[in-house]
Amino acid sequence: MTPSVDPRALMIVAIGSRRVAVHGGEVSEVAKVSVVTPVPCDDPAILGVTLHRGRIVPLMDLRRRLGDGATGLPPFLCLFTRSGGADLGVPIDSVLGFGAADGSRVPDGVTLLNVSSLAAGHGAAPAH
Amino acid sequence: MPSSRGRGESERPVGSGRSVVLFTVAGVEYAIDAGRVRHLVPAGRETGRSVVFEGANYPPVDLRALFRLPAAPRTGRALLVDDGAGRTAALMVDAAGTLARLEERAVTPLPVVFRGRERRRFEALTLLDDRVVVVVSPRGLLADAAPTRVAV
Repeated sequence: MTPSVDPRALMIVAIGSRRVAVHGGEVSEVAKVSVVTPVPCDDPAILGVTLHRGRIVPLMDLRRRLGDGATGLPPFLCLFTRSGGADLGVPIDSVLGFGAADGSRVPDGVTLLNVSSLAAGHGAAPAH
Repeated sequence: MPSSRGRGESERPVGSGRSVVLFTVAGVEYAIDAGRVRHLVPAGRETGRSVVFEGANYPPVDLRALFRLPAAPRTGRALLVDDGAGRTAALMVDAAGTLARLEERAVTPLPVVFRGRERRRFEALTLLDDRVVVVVSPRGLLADAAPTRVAV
């Protein structure tokens, strides 16, 4: 579903009222998620897990993590990422486009997503 | 369903093919090592503060409460388990009783994004017929459950 992404570029997506950028090299795919298995846990931003291309992938509600409401029930569009060997899915509203090919500058008003940190349960990088 | 077995079995490492008992709570499917399950009884057998079965006491554990899920009528089953280290419990579940075999290749360690008490309670996730099943850690689950046991 996702065209090949230049690993050096930034993919910019909409999540609630925010625009969020992810390094292209960390994007696996954008796909629809229809089934979520909740896993009881302490972090309310973790929606549970889903099965994506044969792998069990945790889902992080970035909207909730950033204090911008909460993602509704599936189905929803999901940005699947992979960084440092860890998979993570983030529900999104849409793909807005791509930033500079060299990924050197985060556009104004865009939050850069630190995927490896988020997958480790630490959170998102601050807005740039 | 296993009805009895010896005590003192250690928990096997994640991924070594093994038999599990499946149960559900609030629509989510869980697996527990079959070696840790002693009996399956209807809910409502509590006497005082325990389920007493064949002379052994099993303190009730409301998994919905432990997992902070909405309460539901207690019309399910009680899974009588031990943790292999002397602790016992009657896990209040919605349904249980199916035996399954976990294959090593289908077992995934709990992703690192899970950093809270769930790391003690659950040891892995697995796939059974394309369904995601949460594999519980009896020792961690029962240790965590002690303060939230059901008042009867």
